[in-house]
Amino acid sequence: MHDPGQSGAVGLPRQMEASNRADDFIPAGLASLGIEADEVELAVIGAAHELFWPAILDLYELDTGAVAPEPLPDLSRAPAIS
Amino acid sequence: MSALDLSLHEQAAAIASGETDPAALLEAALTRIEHRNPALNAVVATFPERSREMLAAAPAGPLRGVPVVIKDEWPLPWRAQRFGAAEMIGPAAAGESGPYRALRDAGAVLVGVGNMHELGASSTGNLSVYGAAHNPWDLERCPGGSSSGPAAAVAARLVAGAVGADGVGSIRFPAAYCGLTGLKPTFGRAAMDGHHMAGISTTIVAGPLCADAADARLLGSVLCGEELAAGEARGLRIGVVRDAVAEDVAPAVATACAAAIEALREQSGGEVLEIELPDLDAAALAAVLIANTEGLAGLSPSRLRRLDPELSPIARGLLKYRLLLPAAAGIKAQRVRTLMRRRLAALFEQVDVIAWPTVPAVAPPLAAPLVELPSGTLTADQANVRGAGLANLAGIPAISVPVGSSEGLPIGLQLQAAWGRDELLLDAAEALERATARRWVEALPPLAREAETAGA
Repeated sequence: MHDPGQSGAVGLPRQMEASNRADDFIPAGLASLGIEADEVELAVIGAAHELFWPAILDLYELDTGAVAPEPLPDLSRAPAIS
Repeated sequence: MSALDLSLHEQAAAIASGETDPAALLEAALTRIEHRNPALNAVVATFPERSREMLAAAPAGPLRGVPVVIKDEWPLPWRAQRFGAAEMIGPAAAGESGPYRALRDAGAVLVGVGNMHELGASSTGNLSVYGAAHNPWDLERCPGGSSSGPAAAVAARLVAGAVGADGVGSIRFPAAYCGLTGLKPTFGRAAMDGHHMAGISTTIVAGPLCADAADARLLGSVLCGEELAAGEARGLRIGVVRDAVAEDVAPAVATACAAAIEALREQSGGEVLEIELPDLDAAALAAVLIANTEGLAGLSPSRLRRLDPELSPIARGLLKYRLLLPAAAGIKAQRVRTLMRRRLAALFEQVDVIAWPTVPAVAPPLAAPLVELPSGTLTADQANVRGAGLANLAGIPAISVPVGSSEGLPIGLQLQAAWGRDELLLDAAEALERATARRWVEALPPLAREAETAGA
């Protein structure tokens, strides 16, 4: 049976805070793809991440589950309103 | 006055009537580019012999003999596009594109290729493999991107019309910064074949950058392959949004746009209606995410490991970051697209156009493209995309119209309409021109005024 308290027992915080710190995300992401980046590129990637990531987290929080999909949308025309 | 200083439709009419010799007009355009372009870097390639061949073969179309510039985003039979960069991710090859064919078949004469922001990746135009283009209103300011060169070329009256492309505001930003009328047609309405993202992009569309709405209508009709018929904007129902995002605008821009909206209301005998359009920030992000990931099929870690060293560190960094964007964000973005398309469809039952500032502040310095807004200092890109992304996300047409000036720099008002109502936007822009006695569409930047006085 799952015991929520177990997370603390293995050293994990019970509630993780979302982070937009490029230090956490960028090196791991680049390493997983086997891509190197020089100092200037890393600064650019970091700046982009700090700009995009909070907005992406907000996007994730937006509840779009109730939005019925628009199959094969024709972007030159209005959608059917439902 | 040189025939080059006539509007696009006046040049076409003068040639058709025999009043102007198109060969002389072409040579005058090439000479003017030689004189004025060094300060602007708006035109990155000319090809006088090709231009003369185009003129010799020009059919009796609506633009016969009229010089135009095309953005470095479109291939030509004699020149591959470079997309403002040392290296493109998509295929680049010389060939005929839809806009090229449309211009050729209309009798237009291509006199140059317009500069653009590297890889189309910014609203500023301050970075390009050719060096930045400069804003004719202030050479130290951004001309807007990514269609920087086409806008700067028209604003400085090197030509009266230019073809841009708009994936997330890339026609409207430079139109606003350079004091032009720039139309982003309904998605799919303008010729797109030959573009390296044709069939892939769901946001990009070709469109005109011109001094006024009549010229944008003429060039837009050519690009769309059908007449964008003129009508009267009567009884316009103008929707305005009043929320934290929509109102985070520099005071001078807010004042000029509010005055223009009121002038348009009065001119059309219409009404201004406050509308609700929530989640504009999410819509802007969704547009950026979609536009930045649709071209990823050609991107791979191995490709990223061998990028051209001449590509700027900014472009290299952003390309690498693109591969790190989570797929879930793309899925969410598509659902936001659906949500906003439905909201817009419902809104356009209540209003004819939605109006807000094209960009929230005037053109920032090339060296530091930051803007001061009530919420604080933002990068121009961060601020500009808020008002532009929606039209690309949803597919609706949008137009930027010059409506004022601050610090000697133009201010643009954006109007958006329902799918296929591009003509209404042009009608509304013309109504606005009448309401302001064409003050803003006839304003010339210092560079063009001084050169005119000097006879260049």
